Amino acid sequence: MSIIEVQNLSKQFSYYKKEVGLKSSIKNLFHREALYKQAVKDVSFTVEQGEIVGFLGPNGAGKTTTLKMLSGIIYPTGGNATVLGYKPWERKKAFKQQFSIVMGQKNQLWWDLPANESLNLNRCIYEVSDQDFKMTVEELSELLDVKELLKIQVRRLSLGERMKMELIAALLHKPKVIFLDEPTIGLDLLSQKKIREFFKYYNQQNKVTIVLTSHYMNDIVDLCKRTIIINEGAVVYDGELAKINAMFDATKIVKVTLSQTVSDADLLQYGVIKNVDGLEVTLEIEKEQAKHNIKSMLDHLPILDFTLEDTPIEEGIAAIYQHGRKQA
Amino acid sequence: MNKYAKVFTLGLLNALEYRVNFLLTLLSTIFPILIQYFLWSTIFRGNSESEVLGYQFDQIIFYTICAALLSKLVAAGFEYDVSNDVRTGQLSKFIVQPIGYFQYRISSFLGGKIPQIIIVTFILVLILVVVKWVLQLDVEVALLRIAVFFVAVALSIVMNFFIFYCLSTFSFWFVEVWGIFYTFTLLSSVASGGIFPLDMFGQGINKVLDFLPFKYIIFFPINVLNGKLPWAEIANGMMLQLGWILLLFICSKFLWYKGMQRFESVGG
Repeated sequence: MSIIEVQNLSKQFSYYKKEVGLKSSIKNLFHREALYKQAVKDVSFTVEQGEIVGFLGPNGAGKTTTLKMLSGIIYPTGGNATVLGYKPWERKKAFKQQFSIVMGQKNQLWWDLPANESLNLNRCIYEVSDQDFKMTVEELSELLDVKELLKIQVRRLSLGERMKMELIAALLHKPKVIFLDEPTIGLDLLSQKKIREFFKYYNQQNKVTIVLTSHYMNDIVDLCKRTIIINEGAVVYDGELAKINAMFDATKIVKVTLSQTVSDADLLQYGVIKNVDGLEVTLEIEKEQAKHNIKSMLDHLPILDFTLEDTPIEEGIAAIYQHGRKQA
Repeated sequence: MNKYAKVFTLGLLNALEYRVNFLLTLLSTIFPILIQYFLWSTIFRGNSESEVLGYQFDQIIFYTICAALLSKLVAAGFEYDVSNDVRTGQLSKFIVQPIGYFQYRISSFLGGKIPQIIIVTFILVLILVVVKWVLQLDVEVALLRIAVFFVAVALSIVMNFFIFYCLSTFSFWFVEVWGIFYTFTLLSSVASGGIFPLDMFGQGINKVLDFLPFKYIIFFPINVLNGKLPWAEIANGMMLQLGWILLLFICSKFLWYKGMQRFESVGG
């Protein structure tokens, strides 16, 4: 059985419309028009043990809502999901003892307490034995490089340090499933990298299942073999990240530095001109013709320097976002 | 250590951390007490009788001091934390972790009361000694009554917790609850006898107050202490305190159930 099974999961929010102005404010006192927003619609997927799955999607796509349903914070309005064999929103104690959710934008530590007091409280909440607790804190604080900071009040820690403490707190009870909602948001590149490496190691060591959302492409590329892209509440792609581009536009990007200017007409023979900046030219070439065109470019144009790249994954993803919108 | 014992200890440590703050709030009650002192002096001077509404001058001053101390002792304050938890979504941490919010709140609240009870007891004993043996005022002091008084106060503290735990559910429906909390605190202070003895309000209002929980928070325990109530009525009052605690507990369960439904529907 899969660790996480999601079938046709849906969530509808209701909210109220209010128009600008005093008149409509008064009108709103008596009658409010309810509107509905389908935040998540018919989402289905399964995750196997030990997988790291990336959740991608623009703001408001329904990533966090899905994670909240999978961790039992909110009820779905339709469909079904099981995590570790439990329905999350039944909030069984046995389920809570086996998973963790870390939200980059919300902290779970007690602000007024030093980090180790807060960790100690979590130890009591999750009923972790003294010995396990000491070992885990020792190991994780070493790995994340925050051993010296355990005695400092949480409110005095920097954002990156705090996030690392959050992670230790979330892993104390050795969860089998971890949901990470933008764990690297607002962190500097070094901290982001540290946290990514940490999860890579932790996943390999403990065979935990991780579902991760992030807007930083590096997080996803580094950690996740598999990516689920959702847009406007629906799954639009589920598979290997590297194959996204192949699905859409099969093109290569060629950047060349010329020794003298070449007319646009000459360049157009080889591919679509993406950008011309003096002698720096960027061309997009169909993959099938790439080999042939590049060869003749090198033969016929005054080229000083030359680089060949795949279309960036971001563009493939952006294409998917837009594609999904057209369908919707 | 049990998780709620841990929360209780943390509440206690937190209160110790802020002990100066508590002492200062106690100190701040001196001014209203002084105002009342002068007010009552004037009233008694203009009155030919030695009693006003059943209270002698010494008794009313003793009541005022006790009421001020008790008000601070039973005070809630956690309702603002609840509102913050709801507004910022921190509440969801209690949904995903194996810890109950209600148990967490009451453990932390009671833990915080321990140092305060010690401080207030100390001050109260000091006052009793001064009143009885230094100033030689006409106030009855009986050890048994003092003991029963502390039991009544303990029940008051729990009762007040539940009242404000019910009140805190306003946070689910209103974003800005400061005004509501403040107004309610003020009204409940008057209705519980935290400013004047409730006898002053006349029979009509007292009939209404009989049906409300507030008078059992301050008015009742002080009447246990000052000897105004016979033992039968003390027992009766304590039963009513327990009854109110049960009723308010059920009420808070219901309100929290409704509130959590709303919390989830707006996305937490």
